[in-house]
Amino acid sequence: MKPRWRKVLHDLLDNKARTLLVVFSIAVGVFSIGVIAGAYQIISQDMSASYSSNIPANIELRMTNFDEDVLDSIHNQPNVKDAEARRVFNLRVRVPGTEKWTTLDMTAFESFEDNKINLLTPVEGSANPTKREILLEQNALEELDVRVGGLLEFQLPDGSTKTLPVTGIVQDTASGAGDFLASPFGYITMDTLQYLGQPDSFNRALVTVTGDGDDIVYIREVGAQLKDKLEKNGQIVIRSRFSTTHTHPLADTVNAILGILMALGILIVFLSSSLIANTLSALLNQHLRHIGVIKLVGGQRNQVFRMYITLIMAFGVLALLIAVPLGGQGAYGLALFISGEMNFNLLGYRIVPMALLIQVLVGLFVPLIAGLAPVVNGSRITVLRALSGGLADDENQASPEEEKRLPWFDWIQVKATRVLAARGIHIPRPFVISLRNTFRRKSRLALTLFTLTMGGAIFIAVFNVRVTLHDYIGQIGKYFVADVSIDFDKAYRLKEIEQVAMNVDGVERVEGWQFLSGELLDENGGVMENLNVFGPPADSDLVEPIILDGRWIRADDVRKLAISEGAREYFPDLNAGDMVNIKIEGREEVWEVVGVFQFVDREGVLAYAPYEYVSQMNNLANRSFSFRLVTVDHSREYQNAKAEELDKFFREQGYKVRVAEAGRASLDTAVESLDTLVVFLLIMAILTAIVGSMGLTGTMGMNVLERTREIGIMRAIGADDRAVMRTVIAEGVVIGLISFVLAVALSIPFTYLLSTIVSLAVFQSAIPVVFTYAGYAIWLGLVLLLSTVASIVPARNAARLTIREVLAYE
Amino acid sequence: MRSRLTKRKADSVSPAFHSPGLSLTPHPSPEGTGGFGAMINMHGVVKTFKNAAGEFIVLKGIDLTVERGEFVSIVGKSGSGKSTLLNMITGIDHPTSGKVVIGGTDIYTGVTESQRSKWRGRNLGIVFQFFQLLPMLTLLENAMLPMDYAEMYDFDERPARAMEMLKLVGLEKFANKLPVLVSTGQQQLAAIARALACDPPLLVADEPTGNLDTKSASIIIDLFEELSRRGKTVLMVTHDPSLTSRTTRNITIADGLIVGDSAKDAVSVRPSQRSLSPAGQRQSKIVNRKS
Repeated sequence: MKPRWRKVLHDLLDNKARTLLVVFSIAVGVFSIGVIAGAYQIISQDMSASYSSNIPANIELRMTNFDEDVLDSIHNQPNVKDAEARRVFNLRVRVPGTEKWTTLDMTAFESFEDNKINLLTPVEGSANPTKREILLEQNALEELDVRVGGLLEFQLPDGSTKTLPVTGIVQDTASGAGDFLASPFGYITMDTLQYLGQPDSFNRALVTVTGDGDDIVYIREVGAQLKDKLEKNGQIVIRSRFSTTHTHPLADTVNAILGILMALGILIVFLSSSLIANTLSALLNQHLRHIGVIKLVGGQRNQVFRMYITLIMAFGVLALLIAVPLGGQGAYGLALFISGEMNFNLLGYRIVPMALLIQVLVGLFVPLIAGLAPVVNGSRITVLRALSGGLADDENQASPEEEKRLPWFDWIQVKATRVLAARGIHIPRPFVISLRNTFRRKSRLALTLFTLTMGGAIFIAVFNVRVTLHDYIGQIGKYFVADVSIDFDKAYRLKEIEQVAMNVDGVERVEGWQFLSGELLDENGGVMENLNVFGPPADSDLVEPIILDGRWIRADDVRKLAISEGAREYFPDLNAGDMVNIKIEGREEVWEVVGVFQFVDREGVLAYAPYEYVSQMNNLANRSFSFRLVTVDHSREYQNAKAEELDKFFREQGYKVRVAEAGRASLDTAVESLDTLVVFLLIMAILTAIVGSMGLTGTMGMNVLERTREIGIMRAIGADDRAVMRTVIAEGVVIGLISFVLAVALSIPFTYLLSTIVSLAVFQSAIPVVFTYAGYAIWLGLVLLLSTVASIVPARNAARLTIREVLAYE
Repeated sequence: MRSRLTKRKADSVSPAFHSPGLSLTPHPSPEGTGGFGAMINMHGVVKTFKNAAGEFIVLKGIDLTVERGEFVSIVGKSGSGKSTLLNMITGIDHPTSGKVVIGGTDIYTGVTESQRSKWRGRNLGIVFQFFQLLPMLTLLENAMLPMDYAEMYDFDERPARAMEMLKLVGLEKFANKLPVLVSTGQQQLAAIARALACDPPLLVADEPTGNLDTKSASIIIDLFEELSRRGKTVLMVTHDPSLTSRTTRNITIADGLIVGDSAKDAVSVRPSQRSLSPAGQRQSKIVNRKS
C-alpha cells in the first residue's frame, strides 16, 4: 500500500472517537431517511394489497330487514359481481365475572365458508364458527380480556343475558377500515341470531362490482341503480357507502402523515449534513500540518484532495454498514406499528430497493457535498500556512503603531462588557470566556444552531399541533355537551323518561332528541353522501354550535336545517339560504339551509333540525328513542359511572335500553387516535433533537480540541477541574439558549405548516391553530439538559488535560 | 452579582502560602538547609519520559533550595531539562520520584491535578515565553481571571486590583484592548500583570524574553528586578547569558543535573541582606491590598 493510502487508513483508525462521531453523524441521516423511505414504500404497497386481498365491498347498503330473495335480486343486478348479506347489530358484552360492559358490533354471516366479500383473516383458533359460537376481531381483545375457548356474556335488550364461547380470533381489514371510532366486531352465524333475540333476517348488503373496482364514479352509479331498484321494490336503504377496491379508506390520511415524516426525514439528512460539514471542517483544520508536510515532500493538490475524499467516502461506507440494516429494520418496525394501528397486514420483512438506493446516495453523496468545501480549501492551502497552523493567528506580531481593527462582532462584545462594567455590572471572567468563545467559530456556530433550532422548532410545533388537534376536538365536544346519552330500542314519552331518570342521584335534567338518517343528493338525484340529522329541542343548550354562516335552528323551522361545513366538500358554495336536495326515509325532499356550522364529519354529513319538526316527521311527538342527560359533575369518570348506573336503573325498571354511554366517550376515542399521529411526529421531533444535540456535542468536542492551549493556560493560572468544566458547559448552554430563542421564532411558521398538513389529512379542512406553553417549556428544559449533557464529555476531556500535554500540543 | 468573597481565604491556615485542599504540613528541608523559610525545596527529583523509542531520564536527581526573595536564573542548553525542572516547581508536571516542597507545601503528595491548579492560582505567577493571554479577553479581563479562579479578593474589588497591576506594568491605557491589538512586548507585560494579580510570593518565568526584541526584554527584566527587590521570589529560565548577570543567583543545568549554582559559590547576595525581609514581603507596595 502506498504511504498516502496508509495515512488515510491511519486517519480512519487512529482517532476512533472522531471516526465514530463522523460515522455516526452520517449514519443518523441515513438511518432516518431509510426508516421513512422504507416505511413509506412498505405501507403504500402493503396497505393497498392487504386491503384489496380481503375483497372489500364496493357498495355497502344499510337497509331495513330483508331476506334471501332480496339478496338474490341484488345479485342479479347488472354490474354486480358478488353480493352478500349480513345482519349487523350491537350488543353489550362482558367477560363473565367482570363488571365492565363493552359494546360489540355483531355481524351475522350466512356462511363463513362461502364468504367472498370483506373476507376475514384467521388469527387464532377456528375461522368457521358453528351455531352459538362467536369469532372476535383481534382489536376486540383490547377491550375484552378473553382467549379462544373463553366465554362471553351478552346482555340482550330485554335485560336477559346469554353466553357464547369464543372459538376464534380473526382480522377484518375491511369492516370499519375508515372509521377510527368503530366499535370492536364479533362474528356469528345466522342461526345464532335467534338465541340472541334477533330476527332471522339481513339488514346489510355488501356488493362488489364487475369492471373497474377502483372507479368511484362508476361504483356510485352502480350503487344508485341498485338503490333505485331496491326502493322501487319497497326496500328502504337507510345509508350507503361506496369504496374502491385497492384504496384503503385511510390511505390519504396515512400518506399525508408519511409525507410529513418524509419531509422531516429529509430535514434530518440536512441537519446531519451540517453536522458532517462541521466535523470534517474541524478534521481538516487538525490535519493542516499533515497537509503542509505532504506538500513539503512533493504531494500535489490533487493527491491531497483524493486522499481526503477517499477518507470521507470511507466514513460514508462505514455509516452505510451501520445504518442500512438498522434503517431496514426501523422501516419495517414503523410500518408494522402503523399497520397495527390501521388494522392491515404487511406482506413481510423485505429490503425496499428504493429506500436502499436513497440510503446509499445519502450515505455517500451528502458527506461528499458537505465535506467538499473543507477538503478543497484544505488541499489548496500553502505549505507555509499549513505548517504555521492556527498558532500564527494567535501569536500575532502586531506593533503598537500598527492600527488593527477588531471584527465588528468582537468589538460589540467587548463594548457591551465595558458598558455593563461602567454601570457596576461585572460578569465573571470565566463566563465572559464562555460567552465570547460561543461566537469565535461563527460558521460552526451557525451550523450547530441550525440543527438545534430546527429540532427545537419542530419539537415545539408538534406540541402546538397536538393542542390544536385537541382544541379542535374540544370544539367538536360543544356538539356533545350532554353527560350521558341513552338510546332505547323503543320510543318512550319524554316526561316518563325524565321522571325515571331524575330518581338517579346526580341527574339534573333530561332532553329527548330525534334522529333522521338520510342522504345528500346532487341536482340529478344522485347520492353525494350520507346525512345524519339530529333533532335536539331548538332551545337546547347541549349543542354549542360554531356558526360559520347564517343561524342556528329555531322551533318553528319546517324543512330547514343547519348543516356542517363538511357539506361544502360536495357543494363548495353552500351558504345559509341555499336549498339542498335530501332523501329521508326514501323520500326526496328539498330543505333550506339556515346555517352552516363548523364540524369534523365522520361517516356522513351532520345536520341539525329542531326536535319540534323532526318528531312530527317521525310520528314521535313528545316521545323519543334517544335521550341526553345532564349530571351535576361533568368529569369523564362521573359520566361513566352515571351511564352505568342509569343503564342498570332503566333496565331494572323494564325499559329496553340499547346503549347508555358517557357523553365524551366517542370524543375521547377520537383524541386517542389523534394522539397516535402526534406520537409519530414526536418521534421525529426527538430524532431531530438528538441530531441537534449530537451536533452540539461534536461542536463542543471540536472547540475543546482547538482550545486545548487556552484550557492549559486557564489551568496554569488557577482553574481547577470544576472551573474548566463550567466554562465548557456554559458555552454549550449558551448555544442551547440561543437555539431556543431561534426555535421559538421558527416554531410559529412550523406550527402553522404542520397543523395545516395534519388537519387537511385528518379533517379535510384547515383548522384554527392553537399555541401552548407546554412545548416551549419542555423544549427549554430539554435543550438545557441536552446542551449540558452534550458538553459534559468535552468538558471532562478538557478538565483531564494536563498542562504538560497542552505544551506538548503546542 | 456575586457575593463578596473573603479575600485570601487560606491566610488563616498559612500566613504566607495558600494551599486549598492540600496537606499543609510544613516540610523541613531534607538536608536541613532552607528549612521552613525556603520558598522552593526539591530533593532527589527524577523525571523520566517514556516513549516508543525507550526511556529518557530528563532530571537525574535534582536537589535545590531557593530562599524567599531570590531572583534566580536557570540556564542550560536546549534539552538540558530546565523547562522540565520549572514544570516540577509549578506543578505543571509531576516527578517520577523525589519531593517538591513549595512554600512549605508538598505539592505532589496526595494532591490531584485539579487541586494543584487551584493551589497554583493562589501561590504562583507563571509567565510563558509566548505570553499565553486568552485571546477572547481584554488585557484587564486577562488580569482579573486568576482572581476569579483562585477566588481571591472581593468580586467587586477585582477590576481595581487588575487595573492596579496593569498600571504597574504601564498598560493602563490598553486595559480594554484585546491581546490581538497590542504588541508582543505589551502582551508579555500584561502576562506579568496577570501573574501578579493574586499577589503570589513566587513568580516563575519560562523564557520570558525569548520572543521579544531587546528593548521589550529589558523592560521585563527591569520589572523582575523590581519585583525581586520588593520581596517576590522570581525564578526565570533563560537561554540568554546576558540576563544572568542581572539575577541574584544563577543555576546551570546540563543533562538533567545542576552543574553550576552561584549560591554554592557564596557570591550571591542573600535575601536576608535585602532591604525587605521575607516577612515584610506581604506589605510591599505592589501587593498592597485594600482591606
